[in-house]
Amino acid sequence: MEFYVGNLEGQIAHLRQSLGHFGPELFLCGWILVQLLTSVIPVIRKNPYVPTILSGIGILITATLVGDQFNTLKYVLQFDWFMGMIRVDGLTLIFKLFAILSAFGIWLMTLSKNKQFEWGSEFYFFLSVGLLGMLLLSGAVNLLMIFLCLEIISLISYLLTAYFKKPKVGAEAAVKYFIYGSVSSAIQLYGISLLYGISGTLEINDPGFIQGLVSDHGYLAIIAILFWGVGLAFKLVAVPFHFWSPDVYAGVPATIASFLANGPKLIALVIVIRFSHLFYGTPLQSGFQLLIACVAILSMFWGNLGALRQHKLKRLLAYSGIAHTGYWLSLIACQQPEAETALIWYGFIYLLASSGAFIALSRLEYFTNTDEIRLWTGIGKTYPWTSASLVICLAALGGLPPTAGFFAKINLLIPLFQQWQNQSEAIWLALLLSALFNTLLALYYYLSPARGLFLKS
Amino acid sequence: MLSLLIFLPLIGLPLWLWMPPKWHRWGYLTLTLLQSMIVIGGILPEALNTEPNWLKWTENLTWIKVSLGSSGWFQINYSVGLDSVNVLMVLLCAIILPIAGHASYSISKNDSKGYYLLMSILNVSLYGCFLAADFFLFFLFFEAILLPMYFLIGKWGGVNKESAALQFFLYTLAGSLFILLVMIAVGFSYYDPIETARNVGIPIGSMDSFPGKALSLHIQELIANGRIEPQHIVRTFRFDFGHERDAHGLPLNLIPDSVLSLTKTWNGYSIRSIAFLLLLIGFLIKLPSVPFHTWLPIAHVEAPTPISVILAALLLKVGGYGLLRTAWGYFPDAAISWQGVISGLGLISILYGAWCALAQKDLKRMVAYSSVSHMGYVLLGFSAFQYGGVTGSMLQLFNHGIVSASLFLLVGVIYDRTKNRDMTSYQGLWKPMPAFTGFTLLAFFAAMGIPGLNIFIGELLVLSGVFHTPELSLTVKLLATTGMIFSAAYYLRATNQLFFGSFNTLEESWKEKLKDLTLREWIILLPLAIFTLLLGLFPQLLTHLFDVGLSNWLPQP
Repeated sequence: MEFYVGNLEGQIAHLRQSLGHFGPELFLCGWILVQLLTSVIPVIRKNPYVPTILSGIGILITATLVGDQFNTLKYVLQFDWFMGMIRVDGLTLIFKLFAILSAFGIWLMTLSKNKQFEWGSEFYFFLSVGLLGMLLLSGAVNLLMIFLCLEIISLISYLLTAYFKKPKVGAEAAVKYFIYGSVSSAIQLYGISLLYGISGTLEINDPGFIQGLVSDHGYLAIIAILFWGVGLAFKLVAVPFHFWSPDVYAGVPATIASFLANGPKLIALVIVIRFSHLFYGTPLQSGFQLLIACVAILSMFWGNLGALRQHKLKRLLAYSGIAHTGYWLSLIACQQPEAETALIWYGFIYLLASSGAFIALSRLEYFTNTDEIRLWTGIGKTYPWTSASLVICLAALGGLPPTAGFFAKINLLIPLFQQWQNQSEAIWLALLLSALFNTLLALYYYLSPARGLFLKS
Repeated sequence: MLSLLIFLPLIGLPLWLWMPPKWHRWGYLTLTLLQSMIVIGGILPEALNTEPNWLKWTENLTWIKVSLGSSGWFQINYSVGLDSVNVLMVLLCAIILPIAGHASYSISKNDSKGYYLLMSILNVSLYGCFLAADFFLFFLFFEAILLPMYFLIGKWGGVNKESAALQFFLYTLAGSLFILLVMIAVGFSYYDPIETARNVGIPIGSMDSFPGKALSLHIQELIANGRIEPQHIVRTFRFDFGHERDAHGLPLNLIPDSVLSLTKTWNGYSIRSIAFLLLLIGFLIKLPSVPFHTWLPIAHVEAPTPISVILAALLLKVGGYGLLRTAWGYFPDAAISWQGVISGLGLISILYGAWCALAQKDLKRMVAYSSVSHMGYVLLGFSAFQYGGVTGSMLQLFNHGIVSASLFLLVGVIYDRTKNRDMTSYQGLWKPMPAFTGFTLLAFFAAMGIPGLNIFIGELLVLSGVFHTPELSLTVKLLATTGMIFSAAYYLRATNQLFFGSFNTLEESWKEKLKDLTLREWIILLPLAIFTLLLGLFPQLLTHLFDVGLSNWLPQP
């Protein structure tokens, strides 16, 4: 972006123009201040409805502003704003919608009465900041910007996991999450400095970036990419950086577990997608594909085999989340435009099904004070609608028709098959077969809540 | 018309929620009877009148169209139709579903809401499965059967209902994964002549007309020459283009040089052969055939009577029908090369099923194993498909549906009275229950394959097909005939035990409970008995519906 350098007028004009396309984020920043200020006014502070309503309005207005941004893409497919920090293209906007949907799902979860966990105004503040982080992350194309956004989200996640000090497991979860998270951030930052050292630029779409990586023949580039990937794998909950998720999910209320499972986890995918674009047609491509495919296979198996042994629904959903990361990564490994379309479709269905499952879980947890499936025997009769919703959402996660999950599953398998057909290498067959086998494994445990809720009396 | 038939029970879904429970059964019965009226009054006369070779009553809508980039388009159609392959199955649905609905009187009123909800979904899936003219749609309905069935067995079943339901679910799902894999391969390898022609601008005449052989051949040639680029090909899952076949018996809409073309191999094995084998395993689990049958006795024993009836009479038929429609429809060449294995599996199923049945004391288990044995004939007939065996298999599928339904209902009659199915607990039942004895003997004799009753015709045609097939070994031909003797053995043993001698039961108190059939038991058993007799004496009532079309559909020697 050299043309900005030394031309102050040009820079100011560019920044002003950029601000015009920064509507949702700007609005949200302002709204966060409003939320903060209102929470210190004593009269409003005592009223539990004001923060809830404010936060809801904030999410809705942000959603309309993001919807408005689609218009800007009518003629030009992508824009780079703020001197190449933020890119607005179709991918960005779709992930912004995902971020808003996940935040909205969590907002919905806080509406239902829950004496166990009272949501104060701080919670809604955290939610809005988290949403801001996710919105920024979906457009970030500069390594520092990506790191900053990931840190915003991480910080909010740490705060949310530690939000309720009451159950002891919660405190343990928060500490675990914080330590894992900060170590992986540090490693990621080290990776970024190595990447900058090798390529001399922080902008991942700069041709010099990938050129630098390719022309470095030593192991340094590989180490840098791996280190950088640690932070992402931590957010995505991919093997081998998944160990925190079952413990943390089990230690926090379902609402916060839902935030961790549907927000950062899904949005971090956009960075992996953008990063994978860089390797098209470079000598590093096959190595990159192999790496992602291996992580994908490991995640699928680890997630599904781990989930088989779980008795608590939150831990079960955590493991199922690991497996879903595996499916996503297998689509990224294909490096095909069709696979990406399938991935976005899959992510959307996952978001709906997983949010639904967590909402139902939070209600059942509230009714029975536990998420132990064993203790839920026969309550399907007492709470038929909640239980049926849970079963339907789990069936969708497992990919059974007539739910949308079935089409997600088909959409997953078609690109994998196409990939195997086009390049008949063993790794693609392995990927296809393990995806198939894992859908079978997964249905065993997705059915176990249904078994407890409806079949036993 | 067909969509109305398939989706009619969906009307029930809101009704079951708000209706008082005592009306549920009647409501469900009304809906299923309406469906039967559509089949028998609306569809059957038309099917009788014309040569049943092509799909009729077709409804075809583009449902999902996915771009594959450089590989063209994937088109999934909502396409339903009736032809000679599925006409019998639809008829069987029309007979069995109202009977199973009426037989649901033992379901407690407290949770009948969920029961009829799931039954309605099952009903939709079953009709959908048989009527689908698109592989994808078929698979969708095929998998949609699983979840309602899981809950129906798991909630309303016997002592070990949960493990039985889970076993049923996981077995079938494992099979469906094989099918799914082949389905995707099929989607990549067959093109839609009409859409492709439209895409590249070849004139096709009127929009709705079926593509002639000439058009399909022309397009295949153009693709082979590279004059139609891969990105213009519209790939399809539709079954009905497969009616046109080339000299090798392959469907004309096969894309040359695609993954399922004749020349493609994987590690030295033909991919077509592998795909056929995967489909075979997938559907053999459902059929079921030895060695994939172990879920069946467990599921049958635990399921409540109406679910057992649907399981035996319709779900097993999905396996047989699916094999014929997909494995034989897409891969007739591979079917010939696997002939020996298939006939061997069929033979083992016949004999092993019969021997297992011979060892059972539980009546329901005995009937379940006899189903395995009868399904062995279906498989045997498929292996002799070039010489008329497949006509026998279709008849066997239909007739076994009728007979096994009445057998399970009859076991249910005893079970309702005493909660005991052990045949050694009873003796001399003919005296207090003469009508029950009459119906049971009719069903037993039919299942044994006594001439004049319906099962005999199917088995006879299967055996004659097997004897006419020169590729099958003499051992198979000779051993296959012994199956009838074994089935006679176990059914005669059961007859001996249950009905002969003086009236005696394990517990004295049962003697008062064992009254003869009530009116509603008469109502459900009588139609089945009539069909058993009628179709035994006049099998041409059925063969007339499908055999010309079926033998035209499959390649001839």
